[in-house]
Amino acid sequence: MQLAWLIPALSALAFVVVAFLGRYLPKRGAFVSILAILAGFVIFWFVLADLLGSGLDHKAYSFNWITVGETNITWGMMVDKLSVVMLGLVTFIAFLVQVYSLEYMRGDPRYGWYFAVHALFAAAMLALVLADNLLFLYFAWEIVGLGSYLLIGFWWERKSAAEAAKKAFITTRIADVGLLIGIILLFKATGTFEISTIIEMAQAGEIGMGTITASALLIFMGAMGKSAQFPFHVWLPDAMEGPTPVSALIHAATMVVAGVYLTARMLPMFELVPSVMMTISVVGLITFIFAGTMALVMTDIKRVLAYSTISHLGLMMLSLGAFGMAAAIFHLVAHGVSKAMLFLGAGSIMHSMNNETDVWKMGGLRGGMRITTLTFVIGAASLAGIIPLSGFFSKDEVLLAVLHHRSFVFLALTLAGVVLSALYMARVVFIVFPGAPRTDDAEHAHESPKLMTFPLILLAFFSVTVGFLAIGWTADYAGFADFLDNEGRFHPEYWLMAVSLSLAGVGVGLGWLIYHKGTISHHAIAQKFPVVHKLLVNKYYIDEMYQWLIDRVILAFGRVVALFDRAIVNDRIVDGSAFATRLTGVGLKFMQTGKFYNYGMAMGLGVVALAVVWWLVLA
Amino acid sequence: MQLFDSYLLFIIIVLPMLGAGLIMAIPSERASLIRWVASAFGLMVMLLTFYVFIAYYLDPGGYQFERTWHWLALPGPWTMGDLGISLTLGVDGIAAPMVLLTGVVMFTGVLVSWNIKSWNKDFFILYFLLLGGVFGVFASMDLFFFFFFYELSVLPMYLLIGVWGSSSDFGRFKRPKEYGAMKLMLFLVAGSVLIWVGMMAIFVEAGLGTFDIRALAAVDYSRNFQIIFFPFLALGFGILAGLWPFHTWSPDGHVAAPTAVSMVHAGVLMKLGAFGIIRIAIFILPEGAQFWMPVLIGLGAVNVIYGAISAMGQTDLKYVIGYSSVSHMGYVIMGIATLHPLGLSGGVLQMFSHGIMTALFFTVVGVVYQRTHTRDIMVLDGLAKRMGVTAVLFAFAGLTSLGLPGLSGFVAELLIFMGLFQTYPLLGVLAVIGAAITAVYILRLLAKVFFGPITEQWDDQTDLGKLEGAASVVLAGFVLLVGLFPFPFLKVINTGVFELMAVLT
Amino acid sequence: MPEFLVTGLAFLVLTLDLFTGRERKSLLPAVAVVGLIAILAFSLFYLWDTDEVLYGGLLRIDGYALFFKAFFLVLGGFVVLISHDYVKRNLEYPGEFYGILLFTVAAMMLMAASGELLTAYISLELLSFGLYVLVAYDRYKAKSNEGGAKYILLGAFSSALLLYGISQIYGLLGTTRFDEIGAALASAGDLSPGLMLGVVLIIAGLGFKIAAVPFHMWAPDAYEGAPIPITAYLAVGSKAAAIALILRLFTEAFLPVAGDWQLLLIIMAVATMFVGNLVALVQTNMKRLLAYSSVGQVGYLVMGIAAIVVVKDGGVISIELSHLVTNGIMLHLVAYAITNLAAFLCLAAIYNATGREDVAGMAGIARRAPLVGLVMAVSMFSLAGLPIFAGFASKFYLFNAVAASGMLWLAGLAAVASLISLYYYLMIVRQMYVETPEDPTPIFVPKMTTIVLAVLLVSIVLVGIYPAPLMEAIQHASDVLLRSNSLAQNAAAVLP
Repeated sequence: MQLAWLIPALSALAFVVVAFLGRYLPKRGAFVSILAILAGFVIFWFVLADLLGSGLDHKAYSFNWITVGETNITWGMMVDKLSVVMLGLVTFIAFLVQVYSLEYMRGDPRYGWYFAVHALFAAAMLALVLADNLLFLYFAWEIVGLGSYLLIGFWWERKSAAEAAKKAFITTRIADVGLLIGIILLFKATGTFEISTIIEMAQAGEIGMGTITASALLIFMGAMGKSAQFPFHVWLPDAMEGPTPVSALIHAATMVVAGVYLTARMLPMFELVPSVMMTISVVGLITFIFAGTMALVMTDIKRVLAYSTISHLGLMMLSLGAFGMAAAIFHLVAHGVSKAMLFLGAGSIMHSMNNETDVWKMGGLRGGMRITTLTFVIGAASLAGIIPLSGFFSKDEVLLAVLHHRSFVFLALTLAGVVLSALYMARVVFIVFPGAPRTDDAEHAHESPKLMTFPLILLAFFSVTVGFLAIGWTADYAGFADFLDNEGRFHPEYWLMAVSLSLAGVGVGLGWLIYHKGTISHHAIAQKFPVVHKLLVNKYYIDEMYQWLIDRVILAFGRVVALFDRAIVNDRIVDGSAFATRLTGVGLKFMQTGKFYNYGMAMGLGVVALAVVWWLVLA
Repeated sequence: MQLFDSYLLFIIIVLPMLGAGLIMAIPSERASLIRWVASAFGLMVMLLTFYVFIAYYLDPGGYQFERTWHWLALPGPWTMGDLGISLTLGVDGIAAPMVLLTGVVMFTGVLVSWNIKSWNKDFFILYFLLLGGVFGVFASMDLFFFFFFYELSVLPMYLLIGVWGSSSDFGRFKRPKEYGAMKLMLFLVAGSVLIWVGMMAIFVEAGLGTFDIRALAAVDYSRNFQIIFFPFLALGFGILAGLWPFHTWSPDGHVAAPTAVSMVHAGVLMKLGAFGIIRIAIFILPEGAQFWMPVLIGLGAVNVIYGAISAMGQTDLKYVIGYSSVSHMGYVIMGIATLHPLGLSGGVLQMFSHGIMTALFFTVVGVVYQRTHTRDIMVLDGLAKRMGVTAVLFAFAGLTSLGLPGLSGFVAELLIFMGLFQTYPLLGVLAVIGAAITAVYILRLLAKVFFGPITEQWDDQTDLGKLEGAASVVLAGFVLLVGLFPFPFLKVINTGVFELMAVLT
Repeated sequence: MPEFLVTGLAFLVLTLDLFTGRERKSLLPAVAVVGLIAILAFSLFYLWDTDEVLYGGLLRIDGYALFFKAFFLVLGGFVVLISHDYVKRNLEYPGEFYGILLFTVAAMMLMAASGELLTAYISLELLSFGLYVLVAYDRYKAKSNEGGAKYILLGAFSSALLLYGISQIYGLLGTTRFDEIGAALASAGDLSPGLMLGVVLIIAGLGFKIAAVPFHMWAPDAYEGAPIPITAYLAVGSKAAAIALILRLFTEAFLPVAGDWQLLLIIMAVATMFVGNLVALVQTNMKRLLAYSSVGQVGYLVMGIAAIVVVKDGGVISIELSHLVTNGIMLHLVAYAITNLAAFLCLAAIYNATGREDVAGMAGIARRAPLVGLVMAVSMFSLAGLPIFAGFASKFYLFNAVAASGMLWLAGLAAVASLISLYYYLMIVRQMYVETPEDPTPIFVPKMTTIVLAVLLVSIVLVGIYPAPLMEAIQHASDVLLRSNSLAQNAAAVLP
């Protein structure tokens, strides 16, 4: 466990090496970064074993970073079950994605830089999950943001990529204002950034309720930004401008779940304030449903996946808000694996169809690319919640949490969301794989090389198996929930399982009818509800609204202030006063008539004046 | 060694002047020789400043490298009249980093000015004169000489900007370089008039017949006196620190100035103002400081927000940076005005960090301007394709200024925020929001100017040269150093800050 | 008595003038300068630490007088050097020029030495008559004549005022010796209107000499008309002499009634510095501009004189800060003198080469004649009161002294005034360094001028960074001046 700090450190080192020496290394140093993350993955197993062996959480390492008077700000690692789970997920997926990228990014002019940034990102993400204090967490949090900025904008020659990167950074940054303030508020109240200490003090009631509520909400705001919760979700779909493996790693499995992770970390504190928990679950629910509806109409395969990601992040938040911490993390893992696979699958499709992303230009791909098809279908099914895939179990645990802690309305809406996610997944699958090719690109689609299919297969295997962790198999392993959160043995509500499963079935069935069989024409539906359709296609006009807000309000305001500074403050007030001084000079100049008798008179008057002054004032 | 130490500060102040003298002796035809001499002196001074900082770091506390030279006695009915005005030099934990900063910026500035074509002789003479003054301010422990060097560091500005500067034109708003230079001079001297009145008041009130800062600080002045005369000093120095609403000289001045001068000016000279507030205003009139603190913090907050927002509205690359330094000096002022150890340390660290960062900014912008001959954001685009390193450096500086962790800006701003939340939480919120606005304009700039498709008119641009590269690397190195390992800097700064706190309480 | 020697030197120059041919006229200034230097050496050697009263108190030979004697001798030397080239190019009859110049030098020395009103008056008249001639010396130039005429007429008026004032004092106190006046006033305590009228008139008369508002109006015209060296001489010499006289008069004679004239001087000072600097903002002719700037500078000196004593409530006066103030005044006087000399020498050099004496004419001088440009810029900065130059040290010292004697607000006003002045000084610098000249051909600067410029430059910087030695001499002078402390004390005792 002492080694935990090595995991991020190695990747950080890899970043430095690849970024500065990469061009002198074979394959631009890509393998350095891969080895680093692989080593991380190996070390993870030792850490895990160690943790299970000792069974208690552990502070691995801690040193002073800033000291001002009696204020010490330390950096430290905290290894507990939560962080270990994240550790495993991140290292594993990062490793696979980098391997995948070896092939996918072949021949890119900035090949080396790509892997360097990957290493940087991995380092930051791992530091984030290991951080034992909020400030260090924020530190890593921001670097993660930077990594995503660099990767989204990796092809910055494209205007759209540059814009998307900017959008992502600014959006999350605005949310982070909340996070930072929240952290500092907690510091003010407790005098430390130590997460465990803060939580203990909070539970001991040493922090005012007001402070707790405020900082909880603010911290959650930060989480909303990173995890693309409504209304901060706008950046994630655009983030698809980045290379597809990046989407798989950052915008499906790791970075976007940082918010969920943070919320889970701080949950013991949040739980003290019911209103906060309610807020979290409401935000999660809204995001879950409304992202699902948008996913229904996207024609860009990556965007469908992006919106489905948002929606599932919403589900995780909902579960957290419903006190289902374990459920949320479980779904996080399940979703992470499946979604990564889906993205990689999409990547392999694009790879074979020279970067075509429009689903309506695909079709009949199952002929050409068997492995991709198979894995993609597995992933889709898992997210749709089909038994016995991981998605089914995790979603079921979430439903349990909602059932136990929230009103019936929540449950109903969540189930509706389940239908949605089944539906849009089915839609993609049925459009893309079966049937006849729609274009000759689709015609000639061929399977991707081994380096790309191998990760797919591996991920597929896991998304099939991970789900079974939910069930307590042995005496001392009482299911994931118990492992993580000591919630006791896993006992499902079978009726709920049935309901959710059948609803998922309904979703898939609908998809089959509409997009495969064509008995119901989706055009017809679109024409039937033109308003709704238009609304969905335009993503509820939220992006437009923000755009308008930025251009017409914020930037305009900036221009106004700039003008004010130039025209009023400067040209009127500053130059004005200077001008006035000069004017007095001009005025006085006229006293100098040049006629000597005026001068004489002036002198005479001067004498008189002096005398008079003396007379009046002094005598 | 002891002897050397006691003369060190004097040497650091005089060396640039000697350099100026030496350059004056070289015939102006031999431009390259002048350059070499200049950079040699720059390097020497920088190394000496390293020595000062490291020596102070190894054994922090109190005032070090002290020495007093008697200058003029003041006849009169007072106790310390024969001490009168004397050149007393010494650095404490707050001055040491500033001296280091000045050394670094000085040397990099020389490198950046390598290819000044016209009159490079006169340029370096004035440039060195200026820096001699700056070092003097940071090192003087005597009020008269503080003022002396303060004025000296303003004096060459007019010519430096007027002769080597560049004008800008926004249709209705013409900003000729002479205008910028003149405004800068008048503003700063107006500030020093205020300062001067404050100084006189203190001198008379103390009635010691000496200008020795510590002697004057030892006197306890009546509360009313402090409340009346603190604003004179605070505003006077505030003008140089770009305090709103007396900031307008600074963007115009920065933009008009040639690269090296912008670096020194935004990087170091504006710090003189903040330093003056600490060393003179707060140190001598603590009660006044406590009384006026809220106002000062309020103005600082206005600086932050107002500066950031107007930076967002600029169309000229250099004006954006100009206003961003207005905004960042706002942080410095807020941090200092908290009068809380966290805030003060943060403020001082921010002085250092912003000095380095803005120097880097101006270097890069200078490169862009020199290559493309325009600073119009609307015209420039996609430069990263041809000027990759430049783009990276600009991004680096930008990320620093928006407070990305791992870079110097974050540490400083974090401490300032923490200090603010201890004293004025609501203004603290404003400050944090200011950082977000910074992100907006910096990232817009990056996306517009450096990223995206490049238009063919910029397609034949060349990336930055070796010397600019070297300068930038030095600066960037310091940004990273402070960002990742702030403790040596904070250790030094804290000694100074806590000695100041002792006065305040 | 160096005055005799100077007068002798003047006659020597005049006679030499008869026997030297056109082409060897440059011998005269040489003789003059050498003579002046010799006299300086002599007087420093013989008069050091002597302190005697001649002719029943008409003349004083003391440290104070010696200081100013030396000052004027050096000044005279410089003016002769400045004139040398100018006269050769632009004027006839160099003999008379230098002769009269030397007479005025003698006159100034007498003014500083005089310990009695009438002597002061006579030496002042001697100075004035010399200057009348010199101002109008360039007789083919209308402006010169106009300036001369105005100067004579107004000068006559002013000396009438002065004389009337003196008669008032004499009529009411029965003496014209400074010390006796002082004693009488001290015993009399309060001041009668008649006496006050006398004081006011004397202030007016001397105010004319130092061109203090509202008695300054002659200055711009006279300065503009006069040959440049004479302008310099007017700006520096006659002012210095008048100040020297005023200092002695007000410390020895009028000190006991400081309460009565202090306010008047304060008003005059404020008016002077603001009018001078404000009007200078809008001048286009260098000589006029410098004229107004020197009006402004005089404002600071008058302020100093006003602050010479601290009048506590109840009319009690204390001179414990007077040393500081008098030091300040004299230091500023010296700084002002060398700086202005440098400025005018540069102007003369430029004028000789280009015939331009308007501000626009300075364009690009820094490119055409680097040294001239540099010295001009330096003297502008020095006048503006920026460091490392004499102006900073002296202004700081003087203002500080004024503030110390309880007039912080007045010192503050002075600082504001000098802020205003910075603008026009910078405009000149701008012309020289930033603007491009019509013809960029280098200007020829005579070797002599170069040397003098260098000397002045060095001394400006030296006084700026190391005034200690100079300050010692000044300190000595003001010790002598304020020796008559006893007056102040018994005045304080007598007053209710």
